[in-house]
Amino acid sequence: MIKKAVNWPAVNGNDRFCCEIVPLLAQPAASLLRNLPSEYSTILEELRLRSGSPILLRSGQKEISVSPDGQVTLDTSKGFSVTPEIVRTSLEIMTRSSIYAWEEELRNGFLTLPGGHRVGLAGRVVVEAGKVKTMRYVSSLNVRISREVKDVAQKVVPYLITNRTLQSTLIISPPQAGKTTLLRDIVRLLSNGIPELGLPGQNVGVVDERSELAGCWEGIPQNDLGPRTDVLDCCPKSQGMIMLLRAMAPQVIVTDELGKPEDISALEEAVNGGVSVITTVHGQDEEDAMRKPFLKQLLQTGVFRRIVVLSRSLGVGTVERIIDTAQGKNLLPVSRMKLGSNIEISASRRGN
Amino acid sequence: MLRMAALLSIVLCSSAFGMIVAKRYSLRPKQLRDFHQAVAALETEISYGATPLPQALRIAVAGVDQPVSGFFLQVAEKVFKGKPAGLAWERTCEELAMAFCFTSGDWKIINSIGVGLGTTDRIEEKKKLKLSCSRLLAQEEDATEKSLKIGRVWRYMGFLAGSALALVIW
Repeated sequence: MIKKAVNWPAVNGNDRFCCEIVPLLAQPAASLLRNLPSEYSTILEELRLRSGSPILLRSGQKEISVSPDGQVTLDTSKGFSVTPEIVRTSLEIMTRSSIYAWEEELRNGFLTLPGGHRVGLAGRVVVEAGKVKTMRYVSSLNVRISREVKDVAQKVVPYLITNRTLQSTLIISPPQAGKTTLLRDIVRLLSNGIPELGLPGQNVGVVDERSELAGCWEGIPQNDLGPRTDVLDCCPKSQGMIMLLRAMAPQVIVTDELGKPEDISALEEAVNGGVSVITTVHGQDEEDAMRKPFLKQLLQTGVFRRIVVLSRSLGVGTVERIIDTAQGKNLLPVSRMKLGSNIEISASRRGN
Repeated sequence: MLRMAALLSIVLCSSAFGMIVAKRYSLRPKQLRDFHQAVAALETEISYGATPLPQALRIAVAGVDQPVSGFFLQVAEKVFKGKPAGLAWERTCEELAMAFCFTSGDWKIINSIGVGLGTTDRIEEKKKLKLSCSRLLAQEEDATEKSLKIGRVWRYMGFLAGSALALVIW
């Protein structure tokens, strides 16, 4: 049994794992994890419960487990073995015994918990007419602990505003490079207003198809998105943008991970309606994005005035370029820059 | 005089006993009817509204009398606090057993409602609750019949038996 042998960085912060995740786990897993030393519980990124396998806890690239007597162990094979009953009951507690109310989430393979934490699910999938109908006999839970990182967008936002107007922006980023974190903080800053830039608080409409931005629980955002933000949770992007446009009179519409051709026409309608749009797309850089036919078409129409390119070259949250599409030049005075200090902590957690 | 008082108290006690038993027979159909009504409302909330269980349980007993409303509200509270619904239902059955006039056959049906409650999709939940409703309805009809027949017998029998005993002692 090794205690305090794992050289993880000590990070201050509330112990959201013990307060928000552990009460949603079945016994005896809850009892074992309740006594996890705070030096671990405060920096955890992921908890994995797989039927017949040991409990696994991950932070960055490092993995630990908890032995049946509650001790932290680096030898994960000695960890407490999760039973199917624990997985089943934990899922029951997480959904407050209302699996039927989470059918759409089960179809998509994840749930969002109070606090914005996400739970990935795996098990036996029931297919009907070639489409996933639901999931039965859930055998694996992957709890991703949400930690809001505020003020990471402060260095980026000034480049997105000209003449007190937010420019429509596309964030291009590979996975795990901090695009959702950046987008969430941009929403919060815009909603609060940025007096230093002369920008009053904006009415922001968020279409959160995968519940990642707001982390809604029963319709209420669990992450701080500011006081002037309206969220359409679990709503398809193309429909959501039009709904917001017609119903909520937003000044800015924000959505994550553009990926379907039908999103484009909704986005164009929003921009033509005088609304600024901020969205993200997976990709290494703008050339990579241009290789996707629907994005190429969109970029050529000039809908986006700014393109922010993220990477992990200096760790999570590295801004490679901020391009003014009208002038075709990089606005960054330096070759690349890191987002706020909190992202740096996150990067070190991931072992970069 | 003392003898008269003793005999009178025998008649009164015996009548009261008969009335109590008769009352339990008359309460059973009412409680089964309330339970049936609440389960039917729960089924509607789940199958059409996909309302989360704690909220659905609370809505289901709007306008339903005690002790059925108390039963559902206790289950809702336990589920809301993180207890699996099956366990919460079972515990509440144990805790509130004395508040009901149910027979072991009634409890068997009521206990079965809690098994796997909220762990399947809407279609399955609807099927299970509908089946429970029809079983509760059958119990209710049986209870109404017994209430009319046996309840009346107890009501009279208490008084008559007490009077007969008093005459024998006299």
